[in-house]
Amino acid sequence: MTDLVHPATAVAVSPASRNPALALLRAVARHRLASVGLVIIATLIIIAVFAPVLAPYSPFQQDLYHVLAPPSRLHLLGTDNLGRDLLSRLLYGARVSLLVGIVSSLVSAVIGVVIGLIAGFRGGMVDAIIMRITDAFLCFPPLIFILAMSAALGPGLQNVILAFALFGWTYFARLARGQVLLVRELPFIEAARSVGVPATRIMFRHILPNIVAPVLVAITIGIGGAILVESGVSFLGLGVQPPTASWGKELRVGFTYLEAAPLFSIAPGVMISLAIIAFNFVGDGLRDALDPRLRGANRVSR
Amino acid sequence: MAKTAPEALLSVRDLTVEFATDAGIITAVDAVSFDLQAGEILALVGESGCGKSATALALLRLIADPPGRIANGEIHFRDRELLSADDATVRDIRGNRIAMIFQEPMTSLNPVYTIGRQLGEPLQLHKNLRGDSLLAKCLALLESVNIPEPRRRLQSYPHQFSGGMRQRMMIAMSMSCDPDIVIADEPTTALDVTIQAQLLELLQAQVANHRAALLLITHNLGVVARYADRVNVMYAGRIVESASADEIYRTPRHPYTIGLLRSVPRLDQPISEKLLPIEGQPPNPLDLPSGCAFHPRCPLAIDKCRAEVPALTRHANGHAVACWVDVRD
Amino acid sequence: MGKYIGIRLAHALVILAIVVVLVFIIARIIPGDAIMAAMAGSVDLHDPSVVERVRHQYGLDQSIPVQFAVWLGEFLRGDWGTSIGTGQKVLDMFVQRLPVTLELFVGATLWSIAVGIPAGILGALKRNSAADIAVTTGAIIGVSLPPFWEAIVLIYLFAVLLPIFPPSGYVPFFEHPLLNLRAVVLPTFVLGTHAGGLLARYVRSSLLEVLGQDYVRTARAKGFSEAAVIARHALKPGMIPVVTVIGLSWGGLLAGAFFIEVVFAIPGLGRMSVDAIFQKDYPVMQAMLIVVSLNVLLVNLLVDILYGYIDPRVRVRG
Repeated sequence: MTDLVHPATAVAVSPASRNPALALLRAVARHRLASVGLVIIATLIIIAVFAPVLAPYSPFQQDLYHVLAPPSRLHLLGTDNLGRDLLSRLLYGARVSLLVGIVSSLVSAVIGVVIGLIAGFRGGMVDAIIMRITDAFLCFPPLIFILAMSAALGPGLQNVILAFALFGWTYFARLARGQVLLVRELPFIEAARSVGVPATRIMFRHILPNIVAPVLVAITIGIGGAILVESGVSFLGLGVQPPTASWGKELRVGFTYLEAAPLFSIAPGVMISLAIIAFNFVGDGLRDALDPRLRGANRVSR
Repeated sequence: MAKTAPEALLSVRDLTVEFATDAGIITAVDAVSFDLQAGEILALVGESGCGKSATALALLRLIADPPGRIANGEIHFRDRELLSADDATVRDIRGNRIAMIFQEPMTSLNPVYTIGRQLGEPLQLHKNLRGDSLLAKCLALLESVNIPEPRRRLQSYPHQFSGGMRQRMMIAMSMSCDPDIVIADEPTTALDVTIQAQLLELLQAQVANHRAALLLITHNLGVVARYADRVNVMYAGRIVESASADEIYRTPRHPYTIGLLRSVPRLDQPISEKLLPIEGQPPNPLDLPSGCAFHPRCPLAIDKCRAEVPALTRHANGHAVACWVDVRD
Repeated sequence: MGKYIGIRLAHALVILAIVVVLVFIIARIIPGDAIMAAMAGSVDLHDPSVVERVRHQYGLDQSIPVQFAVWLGEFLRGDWGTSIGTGQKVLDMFVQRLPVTLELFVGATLWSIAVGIPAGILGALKRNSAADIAVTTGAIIGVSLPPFWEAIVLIYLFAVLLPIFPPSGYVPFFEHPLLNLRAVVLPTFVLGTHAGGLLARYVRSSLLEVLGQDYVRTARAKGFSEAAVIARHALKPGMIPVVTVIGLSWGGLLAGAFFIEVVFAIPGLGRMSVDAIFQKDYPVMQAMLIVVSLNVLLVNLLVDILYGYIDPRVRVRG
């Protein structure tokens, strides 16, 4: 059925694509799950920024007469094993998770994209060596390295982020390289090369803008992944140092008191899950918006 | 070629097919009516986008829904009306009484199953053949379309066949249940020019052997001239001219048909005759011109053409045309 | 096909070689001299002659390439060293715990297939329906849930509130099959959640793509019912990418096992690894990294071979 007219689709697409960034934003907002995710993320960011204003208590204020208190009007989510207000600790905990998630994912992305660009653009031996090393790294779940690094370097946020920087780049490298291989065959890149535009300039001026979209999707989903790993590392007993409030740490301690105070472990987990789900929703929406092949039913069949 | 037979084998009335797109509804086929007689070869001719493929798919209710939809019409095949029939009835006709050959023999065959398995499926389904009798029939089918070493070829996968072989296999498959009608949707367009004629001759011989009627969808008037008994010319979802192949060639009466004929080289005219492309672009189906959809490109258009849609009107010799102007004037 | 497998095998061996070198390097650059740290309790490290003796005993006074050759040779002969934490032979520790973790992996994979594939098919066939929205949303949630939290919630629901399953512990299958199965229901379900979500998503999009293919239309034109069209022509090509997803998920299960085995107190490789990491038990960690990568490489190889088996076009491409 190739004779179903193409001008029609062209007409349909052109007005929206005049400003690609705007079109993308519109597509994401129209995406059911992505808009839910955006609302959750916005809320979490507000919570993280305004934690001191929003929290009813200091997250460190202990009340040893009221430990593991059930929810009440004074303590909406009850108290922890040291009598600290759980809600306040969870609000502050958003800071750790968001900070580690966003910074780790961005750092991994920058390192990975640079490595991937070099591999894809240089090709040949450089490419082969870089990609085999990447393949080797991809044999391990990053969690193993990050745990080992955190254990070796000692607890602390910066060490978790450092571990991410060292071991989180592989996926981005592979993604960027794949995109470069696709893009470098496009006519305008060949044209730029044929008139002698230097390689680095082509890389950053011509190729980078073209791979932004898929990398953006990966960063968004990567933030969710980093939040998961950070809370997991904290859950196992590494990561941030006490008394800093972190969702993973609360969950770990709360697990010990599961029968006496179920909310103590369930509530932090809800926060972790919401954050990860929200970033994955948005990532999914971005991917749908960027990949027209997967878009809704209004496609004219061939 | 019993054109005067009282009852046609297949009779299409007011067939209308719509597609939903992001920008609105396209009427790809607009109230199309025609008859197909037993054993004849009827060509459906037109440019890309004129609705001929949608017409072909609609006959077997194969329009993908969504985005497509058969909005109106009747299709009478023997004593049944297909658009109102239940699914089981239509399935019993598909591949059995009415078989279809598609344009792309590569993508129309399942890449993960052998030729033999796919070839035998209509026979399994409609004729209940199994085991040795199925194998024997499949071998005979491949032989009948001149595929060498049929026994070995049954074990092949589609990617191991050449384009021409794949399409020959498709022809064999369409004939497997001795259908009354074969619909061939641009069967040679995706193939090398050198084997197109070979395949069309094979197709012609096969439908003749099986006494099947052939609905040949094509954009190629050269193909029509050599193989078709009758021709329907489509433009923008409508049939604009219908006549025997001879009539169309000798006395075309629609300006669009005349334009089409002038734009292809013809053996019955001196080489000095110039080829003239039709002016302008095919119409945007979302925004069809008023009146006769061809009027913006028509050198003979008059005011009435812009205002009213001309009906397909029957003249002498069964020659029908939808045009306000009589080109013989 | 033979050539195709050969190429994949060579590829896997190259990566394995890089992994082995990488693991050796990592073990050398990690801060703190592992053996010295381990010896700190038992010998006097302030005495240079003692230090010298210990370094010599463990070959640390030799050049790096020699150390590498010695270490690799021992590893290949099955001498994986002695655990600093437990004093056991490292190889014995792995042999002991491998069946436990393998049971979890197999159970998790079965769960993910049993839930993910039907859900994905349902989503594709009832596209844009309420069921489809539930499948796509559920799939993302399944991919997102932190396993340690999901485990805690399920323990609370099905071991504390409704005591159907034990909250923790493990019984070997051959000791008591029934108790074993009861003990692994929750851990395997949690471990399989992520893979189940991934599968549902990939099955759905893959099947949707296949359903739009010309050959599916051909199958309809043959007169098959919609169910037969899907069963005979859409499922097999639709499952091709699914094999990859199952393979990829298998490689990722170990990270999940870290948490699952800790939360449910299951004596498998995951818990052993966490313990080794915390105790800086480098002989165990080294061996663990190599076993993990071997696992991933073997599964990838298996996926490649299966791929060639399902998709005849791959065999030629090589």
